[in-house]
Amino acid sequence: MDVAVRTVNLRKTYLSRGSRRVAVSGLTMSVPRGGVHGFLGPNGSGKTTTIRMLLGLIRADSGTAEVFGEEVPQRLPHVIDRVGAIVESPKFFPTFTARQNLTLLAGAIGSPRARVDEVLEATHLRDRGRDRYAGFSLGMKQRLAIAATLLKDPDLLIFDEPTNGLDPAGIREVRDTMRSLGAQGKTVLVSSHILAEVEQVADTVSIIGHGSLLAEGYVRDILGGSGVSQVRVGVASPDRAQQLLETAGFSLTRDGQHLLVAADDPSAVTRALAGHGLYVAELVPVRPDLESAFLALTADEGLGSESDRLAGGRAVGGVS
Amino acid sequence: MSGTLLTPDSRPRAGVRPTGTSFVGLVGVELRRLWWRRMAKVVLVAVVAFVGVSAYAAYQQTRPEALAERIDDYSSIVAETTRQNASIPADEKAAQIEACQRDQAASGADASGGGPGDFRCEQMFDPPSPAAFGIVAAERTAITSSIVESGVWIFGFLAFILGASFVAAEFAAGSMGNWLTFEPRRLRVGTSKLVAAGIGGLAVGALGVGLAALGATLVTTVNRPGADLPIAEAPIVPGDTAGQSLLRVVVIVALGGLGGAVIGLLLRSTAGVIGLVVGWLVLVEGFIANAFAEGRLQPWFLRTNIQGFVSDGTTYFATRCGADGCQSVSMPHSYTASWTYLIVVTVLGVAAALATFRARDVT
Repeated sequence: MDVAVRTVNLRKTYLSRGSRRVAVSGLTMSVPRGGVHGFLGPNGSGKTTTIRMLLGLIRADSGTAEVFGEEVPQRLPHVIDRVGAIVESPKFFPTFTARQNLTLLAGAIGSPRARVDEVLEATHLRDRGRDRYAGFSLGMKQRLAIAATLLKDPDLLIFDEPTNGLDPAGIREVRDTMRSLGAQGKTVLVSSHILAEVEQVADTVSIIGHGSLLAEGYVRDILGGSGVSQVRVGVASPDRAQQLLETAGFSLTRDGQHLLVAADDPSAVTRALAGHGLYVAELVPVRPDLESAFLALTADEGLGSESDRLAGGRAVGGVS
Repeated sequence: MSGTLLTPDSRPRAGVRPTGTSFVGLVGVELRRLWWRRMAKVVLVAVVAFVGVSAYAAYQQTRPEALAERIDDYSSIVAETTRQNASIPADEKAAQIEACQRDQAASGADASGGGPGDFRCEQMFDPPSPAAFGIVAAERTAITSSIVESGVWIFGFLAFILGASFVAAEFAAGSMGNWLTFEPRRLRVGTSKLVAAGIGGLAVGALGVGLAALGATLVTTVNRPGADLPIAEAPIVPGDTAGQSLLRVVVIVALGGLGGAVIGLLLRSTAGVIGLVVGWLVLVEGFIANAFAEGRLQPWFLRTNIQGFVSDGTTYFATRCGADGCQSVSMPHSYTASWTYLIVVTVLGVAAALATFRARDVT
């Protein structure tokens, strides 16, 4: 596999007021080149720390990291022009205008000023170029951050929790942007604690918990390996239907007036019930999702409380 | 607007791809950022205001009308002094001059390393000179030096705050991390910021000196006294000496900017820098320097060395105790010792700041 990012046994411990906190614990992961790769984990699982290590902002205690085959941070200057990153929230000089902020960054990498106009145009910020960054909404700030990454025309884009604080329209725009960049052949590494977000945009995914890798691969493979398929059955006599199906050897659970039946072939359920004069009023396949996959993966990792937060994580703020 | 944040063609056109930048280019970018900052404008206004007020004070002091008033006062005092001196017997005058000369010799013996100070004993019964009484012509170099000497601490402090906030604000805003994702070579980045802060300080110093010279020129042009005023010759400062002195002020203000950036890089907080500096000035330079070792520690403190550098050597007071008891004596501190101290402190500070910036995580 052609790899854009690779880490091997990456480890980082923070020392704070005499206590030690292991943020990343022997993380080994690979991000394939091209497409969108989700970097999934609960808050505090080490996602941002890993990204900061990849960008040379913090130093690993041990282990190695590579970006496009170059070891970082030692050889980061050789590949930095191919990497665009937004770590946590966008951060620019608040009293400068959007154009001033971009002009400075363009100057730092020797990008001509004409490119500033191009990226402002490309991110629909041309009319706001003379406005101060401090007056921008979060959505506009995110837009400016993406404009900044485009100054370099990067092959790898790293987005760390890119939809935090955005309204639904903003979330959709960011999601579509990531898909668009992935479709252009760029590698997009997006970290998130929101399962649905990753599931919707990512082709591949790395799931971490407590700073180490829990699973990695194509999203469809991870979903497929998370357990058997289920169907949600609505029937006039759920008690009798439950008895019949259990007798027929189906594994099921009750969900109010519905039954959740484990079955690879839904028609087997309807046949079993119809044979006894019970007709199905509702039959809905329950598709396995990343959330259930994550819960299954973390069941044995002592991540119960984190999993709970993650499951309800759509409204959870904070950073990892 | 499209469904994405990007137009379909967001790639750079041929010929506008990044080419990298040199260290000088990076310093240029930092200087541009320095100039765009509000603090630069605040410092600019403060320098202009200080020099303006100082020049106005010089103007008031050297107005022909003010000179005329002082000449009247001076004439009265000379007449009174002459009358009083005439009533003192000649042998008593001789005895007082002799006692003065003994004190002068004793002072010279106490000041280790320094020669005896000139007490001007022979002139003790002469009337005061017009110059000593402030009756001098408005002279450009003298006024410039006067403004700059009183302003060196102000200019230095402004440059220091400019340099400190220039670096520390980047950490406060979180933009340092973003910057490093564009230029990850920390030594290069840190050095470019320090150099830019030093150049910023240099500009503050040059602006202060330039405005002082301009103000002095205006004052001397406007306040040229008429030939009827019996003023003494102005205490002319030799041109080369004055020029060197002004140059040293510019250098010390530049070091102020650099020093601010160094501490900003170490503490990463403008408020922290200001707290440290105020604490240092009050506690260390103001109290400890005088309170311990009978004041003899002063050569090892910043204030003495800055003064020694700017003024081509300086003196400080230390307590000396002998058989006759303790007395405060004036101790010399040379220009060479001053600039050597400042160079060593600057080099150590820059090295510590860069080493820390290179090693520490940026969060």
